[in-house]
Amino acid sequence: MTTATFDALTDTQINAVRAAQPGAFGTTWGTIKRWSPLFIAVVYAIVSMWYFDFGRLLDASERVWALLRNFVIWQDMDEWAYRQIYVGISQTLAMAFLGTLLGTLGSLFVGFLAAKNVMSFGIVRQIVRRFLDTLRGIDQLVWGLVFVRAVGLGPLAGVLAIFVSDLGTLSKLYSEAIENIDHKQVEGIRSTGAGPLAVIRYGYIPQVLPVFISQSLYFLESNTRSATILGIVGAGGIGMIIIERFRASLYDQVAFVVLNVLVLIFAIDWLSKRIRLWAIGEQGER
Amino acid sequence: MLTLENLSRRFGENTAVARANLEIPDGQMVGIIGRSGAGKSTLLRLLNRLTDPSEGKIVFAGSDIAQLKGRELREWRSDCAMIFQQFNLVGRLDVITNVLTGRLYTMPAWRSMTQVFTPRERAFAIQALDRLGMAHTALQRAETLSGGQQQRVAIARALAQEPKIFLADEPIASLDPMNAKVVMDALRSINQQDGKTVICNLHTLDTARNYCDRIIGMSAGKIVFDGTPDLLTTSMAREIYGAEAEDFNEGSTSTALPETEAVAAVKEAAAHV
Amino acid sequence: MSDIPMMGSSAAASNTAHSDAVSAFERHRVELRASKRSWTIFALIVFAICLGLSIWISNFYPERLANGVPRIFEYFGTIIPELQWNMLFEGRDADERAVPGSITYWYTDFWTYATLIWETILMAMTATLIGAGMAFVLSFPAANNLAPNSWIYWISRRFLEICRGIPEILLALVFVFMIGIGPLAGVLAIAIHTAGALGKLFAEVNENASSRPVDGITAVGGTWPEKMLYGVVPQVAPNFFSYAMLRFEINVRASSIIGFVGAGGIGQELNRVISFYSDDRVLAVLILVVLTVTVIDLISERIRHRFIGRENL
Repeated sequence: MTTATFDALTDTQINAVRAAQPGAFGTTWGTIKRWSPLFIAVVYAIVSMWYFDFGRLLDASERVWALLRNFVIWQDMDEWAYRQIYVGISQTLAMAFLGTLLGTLGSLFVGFLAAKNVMSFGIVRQIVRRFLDTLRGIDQLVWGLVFVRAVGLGPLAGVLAIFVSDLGTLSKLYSEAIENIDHKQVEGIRSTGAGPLAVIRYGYIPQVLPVFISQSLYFLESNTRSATILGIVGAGGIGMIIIERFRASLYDQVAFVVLNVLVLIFAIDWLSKRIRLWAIGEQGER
Repeated sequence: MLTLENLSRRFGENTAVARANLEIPDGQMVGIIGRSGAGKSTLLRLLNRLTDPSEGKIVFAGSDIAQLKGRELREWRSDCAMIFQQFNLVGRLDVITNVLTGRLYTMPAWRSMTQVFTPRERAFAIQALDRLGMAHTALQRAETLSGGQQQRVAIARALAQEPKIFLADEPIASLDPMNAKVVMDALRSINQQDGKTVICNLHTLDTARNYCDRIIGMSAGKIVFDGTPDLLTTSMAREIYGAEAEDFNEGSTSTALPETEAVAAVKEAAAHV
Repeated sequence: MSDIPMMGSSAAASNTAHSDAVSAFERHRVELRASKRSWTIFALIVFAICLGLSIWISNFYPERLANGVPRIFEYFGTIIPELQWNMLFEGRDADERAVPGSITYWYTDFWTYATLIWETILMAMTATLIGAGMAFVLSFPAANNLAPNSWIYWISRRFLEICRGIPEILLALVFVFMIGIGPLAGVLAIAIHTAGALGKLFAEVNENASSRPVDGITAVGGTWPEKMLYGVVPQVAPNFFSYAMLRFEINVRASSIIGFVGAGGIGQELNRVISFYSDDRVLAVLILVVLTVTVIDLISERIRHRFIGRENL
């Protein structure tokens, strides 16, 4: 048996094959089923473009060019109040550091309360967990806005916002780490007649500490990013400077500050990757 | 006629293929043998241009394949089907679509991008599958098939290309002896009945002897033997397979199912149960 | 197993050398402790400096905190609605007025909020769709095993990095200036950020895809787009889908706050009620936002699990 050439295939042969293997030929229903997801996506995209009035993009070109020009052409660079900018950047770093530190300390306590194997009272655990869910459900920026209303403009609101949202997330991660530990070690400590605090100190902490530290470091990194934008709602740091100068139409300065922020973010990424690698390497040696 | 002239390929310091000169007339079935690392795979990939040659020429029908680019290169690849050791099917696509990919070169871009195939193409693909006895699996996902079945689908894909040359890179190295026989028989039938050139890398000497018109032995990137199977003496084979094969014999490279000790032991165990 | 080297070493060491081993161990231990202690001291000093600087720079002094904390509780006291049990489910009276103390009174503007939340979800869907589309297209040139050449790889990588490097709320700020207040600015900002974030993830998935099917399609004479569509897409599609769904969850959160700079959605209303009123309306909107985010998370998780479950069959 040889294979006939493609072009020599007659219609009768094609029909014979179709009769023998009907499934191998596309059916209308099959075509509809295969294309419907893409079709729906495209229709949705078109309808939503109409709904969100994408046509406005075309009208905006003049303002776009004006803005881009202002971003690129830097004027009166010696009057830019650099001190304020770099104080803002260091304020952002300070907010991230303090917020993460407070969040870590709080989570050390709350995390144990939310862990099934430490907290034996189910009701307390459930209450703590629902409380944490609520903290997590509200975005950091909303917390920032709320704290600005409560304690006024400035970095204090930012630190509190970072603290509260970190408390929600870190406590959950910590409690999961605590629940996943090796119980034989805890039993070993308990068997020596140690009290509950000593059990936590010698049975739990040595096992969970590496996890805690690496997670807190990771949060320090992500909080540095989010602290840059907390200022947009008035919660201190570089974001506040960005929005003030944006509102004052000092677009060239905004571009400069954003560039600085991007450099800062990339630098933090790099540094934190280095620190984590170093920490893992050190643990590998142990 | 496929002609290689001083074809070489170097990877850094290593020379995978060194100044290969060959003439392969149309319709021949050629087996390339040699140890692993002898450059067999690289030679085949050079022919399909999956690997670019460092120097030398590949001449087919008057044009230098080594210089082709863009559309002409793709045309050459579609004329020169490749069958891989690991089948290289798209596991998550169904079998018929895998075979239909063999016709990608002939399709306009809008049809290949939207995966719209004509009834003629589908019928052709089913015929190709049917020839390998795999038509019943047309709508299954390729990854659900066994290795031997996947290799047969891969041959059907090659048939769907309507190529002038079939290249097979260790087509049976991952298969059990039963499936290996089915696959080699299929390649032999493509060669004898369709009159297509088949160039096949084989790691076993007896398969090469049984199926091929001509055997090429490679060692350390060089062609050290080229001739009919009966010219391949045991001492020649020992040279191809290298000095370390001190106690070389045909059986040590065989994939046929001999009554080895292991098989005997299994049978004995089964009898006791 | 572990005692084999021990036996070997004790056999190698003669009895006279035994005390040497102990002293060597002691010496080693002292060195180790000293180096460990100096590291700890160093880390503590760095930490203390960071802490001091941070407190100084952000004016985070105890008395400020002591002044602030009571105000926080005061504030949370003002946003809690005054609900009365006997009135809780009272509807509107004859004059279409809600009774103070009822949920109807608390949620007087419910339909405004509901419309805005619907808009928020639509914003997230559109932005995810557009962003995922861009990410899909860019993820192939941005995967180092698939990129047709190195400069296309470099350009697409840098482009994706910039897209995800700029915080979406900053992008939204710029877009609001360019095209005016409204959800379009938010959609664009989130879509661009999504393209960057998903593009990186998609590219990583592509880099982990097997090269064999791609080789197979190359060998039949396929073009680059054909290699991607037939060789790569079938392998990576389930992962892409699940990453896009995860991103949708994140985008719902993002679109609920992007209104802070005037880029549409419930955020605009949230910003308004928090900035201008400190009464029960704040809590009313917050509860709706949290509920929306939670429900969307649950639904999306369901869909992902069903999809992945079906794929694994």
